[in-house]
Amino acid sequence: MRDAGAARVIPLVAAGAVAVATALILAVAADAPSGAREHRTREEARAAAALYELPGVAEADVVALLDGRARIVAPEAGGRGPGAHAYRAGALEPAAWIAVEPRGEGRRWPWAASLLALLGVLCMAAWAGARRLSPPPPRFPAAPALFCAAVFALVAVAAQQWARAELEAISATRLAGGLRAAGIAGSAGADPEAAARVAGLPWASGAALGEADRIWTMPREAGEAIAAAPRLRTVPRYTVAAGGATYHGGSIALGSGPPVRAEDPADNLHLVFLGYEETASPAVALIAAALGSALLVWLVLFLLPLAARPRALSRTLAAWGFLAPAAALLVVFTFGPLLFSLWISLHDWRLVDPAHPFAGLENYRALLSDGAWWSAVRNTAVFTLHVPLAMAVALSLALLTRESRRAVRWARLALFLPSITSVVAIAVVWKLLLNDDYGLANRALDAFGLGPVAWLSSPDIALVSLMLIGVWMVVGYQMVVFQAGLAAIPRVWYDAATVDGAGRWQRFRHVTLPGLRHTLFFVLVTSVIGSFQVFGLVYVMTEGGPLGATDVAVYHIYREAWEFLRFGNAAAMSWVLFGVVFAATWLHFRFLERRRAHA
Amino acid sequence: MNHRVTATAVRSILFPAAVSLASIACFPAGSGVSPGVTTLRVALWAGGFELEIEQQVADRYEALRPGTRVLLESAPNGYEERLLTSIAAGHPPDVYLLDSPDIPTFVDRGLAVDLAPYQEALGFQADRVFPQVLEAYRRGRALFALPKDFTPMVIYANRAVLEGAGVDRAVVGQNGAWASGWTWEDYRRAARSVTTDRDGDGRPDVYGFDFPRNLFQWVPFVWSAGGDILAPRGDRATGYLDGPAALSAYAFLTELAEEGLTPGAQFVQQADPAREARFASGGQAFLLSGHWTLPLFHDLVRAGALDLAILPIPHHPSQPGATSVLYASGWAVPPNAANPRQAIDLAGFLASPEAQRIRARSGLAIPTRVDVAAEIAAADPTGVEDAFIALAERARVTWGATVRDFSRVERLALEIMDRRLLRGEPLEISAAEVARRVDEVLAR
Repeated sequence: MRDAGAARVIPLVAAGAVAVATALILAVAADAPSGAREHRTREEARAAAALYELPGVAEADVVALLDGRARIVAPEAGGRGPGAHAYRAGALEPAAWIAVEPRGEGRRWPWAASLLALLGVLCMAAWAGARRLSPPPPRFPAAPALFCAAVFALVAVAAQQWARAELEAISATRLAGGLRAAGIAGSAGADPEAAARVAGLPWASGAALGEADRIWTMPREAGEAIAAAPRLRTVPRYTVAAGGATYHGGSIALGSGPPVRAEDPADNLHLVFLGYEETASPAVALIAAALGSALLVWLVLFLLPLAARPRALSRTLAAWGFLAPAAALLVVFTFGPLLFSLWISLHDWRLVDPAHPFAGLENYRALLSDGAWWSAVRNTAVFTLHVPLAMAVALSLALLTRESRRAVRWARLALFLPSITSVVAIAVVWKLLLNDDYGLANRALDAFGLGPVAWLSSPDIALVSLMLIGVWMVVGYQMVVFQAGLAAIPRVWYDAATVDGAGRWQRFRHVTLPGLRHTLFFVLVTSVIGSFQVFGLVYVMTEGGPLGATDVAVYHIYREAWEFLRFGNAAAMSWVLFGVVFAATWLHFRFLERRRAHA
Repeated sequence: MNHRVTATAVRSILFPAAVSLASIACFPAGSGVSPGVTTLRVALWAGGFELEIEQQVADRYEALRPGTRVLLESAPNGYEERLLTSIAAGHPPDVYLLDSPDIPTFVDRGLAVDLAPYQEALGFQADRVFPQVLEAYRRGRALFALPKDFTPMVIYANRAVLEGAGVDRAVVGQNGAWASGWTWEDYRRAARSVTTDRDGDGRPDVYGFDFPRNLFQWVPFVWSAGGDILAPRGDRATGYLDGPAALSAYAFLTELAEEGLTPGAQFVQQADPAREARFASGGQAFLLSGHWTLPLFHDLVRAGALDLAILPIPHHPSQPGATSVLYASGWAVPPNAANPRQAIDLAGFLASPEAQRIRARSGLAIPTRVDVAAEIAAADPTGVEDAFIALAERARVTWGATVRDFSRVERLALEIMDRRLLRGEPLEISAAEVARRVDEVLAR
C-alpha cells in the first residue's frame, strides 16, 4: 500500500522537479550576470560621476567605469595596478586620489551547469526509486506531460515578453523623467540636483532621482563630445537576458540651459546619465511559471485517472470544495509569504527603496563570508543545548508529580505558569533579577558570601544565563506533555515488570522510557525547533550582547531587516535558518524515530 | 417540517451576516466617518502625557479647520518599523514625525515632500527657528520637515550629592556653567569625590555617573576633545573614529569606569532603567541626558527634594569649550500622502508657534521657534530652560542626520569600549578594527 502511494508520488515529484529546475536554470543562468553587473555598476556609476568633476580625466576611463570594465581602487593603492590611471581628486577632497584600474573578469560559479547536474541527480534518484517499487509504477503519462511542457513553454515565453515590455516601459519612463529633469535644470537655472528632485521620476516615488542617476552641467562642447562618444552611446544601461534573448536599454538625456559653469549661457549642456538601479527581473515570472507548471502537472496527473470514474471524480471535487477555504488560507498566509520571502532573498530588497534589483544568489553568497551571521547560528546551536537539560528536568518533575494530591496539583500549576506567561514579561523580570548591581540573584549570592556574577554582562556567561531561563520557561509545558505520555503507559506493564523482579530503575529504563518514546520524540523536535527560533528573551534582555555573545539567528535576522533595512539579506538568512531547522528535524526523524520504530 | 424551518432560519441569519461581513470587509479601516469629513492620519511616537498634549494640538487644529479630523497614530515602540511598513504598503500617514537620525533614511529615499515651496503659504518663518535645527532638515534649498522640537545632550548635576562630597556649592552654583572651567579633570575629580561606600559592604553606594555606552551619548566627548568620528564628508571613519581625539575620549571614559566611578555597565543599548531614580535619590552625582528627562524631576525640584543644575559636557583640557550633540524632530509629509494639500497644511500647523506653546506644557523638549523657547525660558524661575538654550548654541546635529545607515555605525561603535571593558583589549586596536568595518558600511 505504501509502495503504491509512493508509485504515484515519485513521478509527480520528478515532474515537479523537472519544471522547477528548468525554470531556475533559465532564471539564474539568464539573470545572474546582469544582476551582478548592476551591483558593480551602481557604485561605479557614482564613481564615474565624481570622476567627471575632475579636470583632465580620460574619457576612456569614465566609459570603462560605466561599462563595468574598470573599478575605483582605494586612494592609497591608486595607480599601482597595470593600466591604472590616478587622478588627483582636488574637487572632492584636496588630499585624496582617485584611481581607475582595469577590472579582471573574475571567475563565476557555473550555476547553469551545477543546476543541470542537480537536475540529473534528481531524475536519477526518482528513476532509481521507481525501479525499487513493487508493483512497478505506472507508465509515464507522456501525453499529459507533453501538454504540461507546452504550457510551461508558453508561460515562459509570455514571461520573457512581459519582462521585455516591462524593461522598455521603465526605460521610456526613465528617459522621459531624465529629460524633464534636464529641462528643469536648464530652465530654472537652479542647482541641477535640486532640479532633479523637483522634476521627480515616477518610479522613484515622485521625489528623487535614483542613487545611480546623476546630472552634470558642463560646457556644451564637452557635453556634446561625451554624448557623441561612440563607446558611451553603446553602454548598455540594462542588459537583461530572458530565455536566451538579450535586451539592451537605457539612454542619456540631454538638455540645455543658462550658465552654471560656462560664461556664455548658451554654452551649457545638462546631461542626465541614467544609472543601473531599476531592472525588472523575469525571475519572478519564470519561478511563478515553474510553480504553476508543477501544480498543473500534479493536477492533471491527479485528475486523469478519475476521469473514467465520474462518481469518484465528483466526490473528490466535493472534498476539495470543502477543503478549499482552509487550503486558500494556507496558501495565502503560509505558502504565499514563504514564496514572497524566497523572492525577496533573490533581490537587493530594501523596504522603501523604489528599486529592487535582482541579485540572484548574491545574498546567499554574501552569507558565506558573513562572520557575524555564522556566529549567530553558532550561538543558536549552543542555546539549543538547553533542550536535553530541560527535557531531563521536565521528565523528572513529571515522575515526581504523578500523584493527584492537592500540594502536587499546586506544584504542577506553579511549574506550568511560565509557559502561559508573556515572554516579554518574563524577560523583563529576569533582567531585573540578574542585574549586576541591584539584582536579587547577586544579592542572594552576596548573603552567602558569593558572587557577584555578571549574569548578563559577561560574554562567557550571558548565553548560559539565557539557556537557564529557557529551561525554566519550557519545563512546565514539557512536564505536562510527559505526564500525558506517562498516563498512556498501561499499568499492567509495570505490574508485570514488578512481578518479574524489576527494580525502580529497571522499570524506568525498560518500561517508562520505551513507553514514552513517541512523547520524547515529539518534545525533542518541537523544543529544538522552538529554541532555534528564540527571539524575545534576547531582544529584551541582552540585545544580542555583550559583544555578540547572545546574538542568535532570529534576532540577527530581525536586526538585518528592521534596523538596517536589508530585507534581501534577512530573507536569505531566514531561508538558511529554515534549511538548518529542516535538516535538524530530518536528522531527528532519520536517526531517532526510525531507530525506535525498529527497536 | 422542523428541519425545513431550521434550515430557513439558519439561512435567514447566515446569509445577511455573510453579506454584512463582506460589505464591511470591502471598506478600508477608518472609513467609518461621516461623509464630507477628511481624516488626516499623523504618525508619531508620543506616549502617556505627551500624547494627551498632542491630542490637544490636534483638537485645536480640528477647531480651526471644520470638516477635518486628525487621527493620531502613536507608536512609542517600533515607530520606524511601523512607519516604513505603512509607507511601503502604500498606506502612509498624511504627516509623520521625522527624527533627526532618520533623516537620510526617509529623505534620501524620496519619502518626504520638499516643503520649502509652501513656507510662505504656511506662514512658516524660517528665520525664527533655531538655525542649527533647521539645517538638519535642509538639503540645499529644500526643506524636508518643519522642525517640532529639539534638545542638546547635557549633564544633569545633583548639587546635594556634590556638596555632600565637599564640592563647593559656588562651583556648581550656576546652570549652564561649571565655575572652574569644567574640563575632563574637573569631571574626574568630582566623580571621584562623590563615589563612596557608605555602608561598608565593599561596593559604592554613590557613583559619579553612569557609563555612556552608546555613540549618541559619548560622541560629544570626542567632539569636545577636538576630534570627530567621521571625515567631514561623512564617508570615512578611519583616521577619525580611531583618531587621537577619539581615543583620548574612549580612554577617559573607560578609565572612569574601570576606576569604579560608574555602576556596572549593562551592555545593552537601552539605558539602565534605574539611572534616573539613582540620580534623583542621591545615588549618582551626574546624569548625561537630554531635555526629555527633565519632566521626571519637575515634582522633586518643586518639592525641594532635588537640587538640580544643568551643566555642559566637560571638555578636554586642550580645548576651549565643549561641543554637545543635538537631537531634533520635525513634521514631514510623505509624497504619496492620501491628502497632500491638507497634510502640508496640518504639518504647518503642528510646527506653528501656537502648537509649540501647547506642546511646551509637556516639557519634554525645547520648542524650535526662538521666540517660543524664550517665552518658556522666561517663565521658568529655576533657570534650567535658559541653561538648555545656552548649551544648544554650542551643539551640533548628530551625524545620523546626514549619513545614511548610521544605525549600523552606531551598532558597530558600541564594540570599541565594550572590548576594552570586557576583554581588556587596547582601545587603539578595537577602534581601528571598528573604523575599518565602519568604512565598509559607508562605502556601500
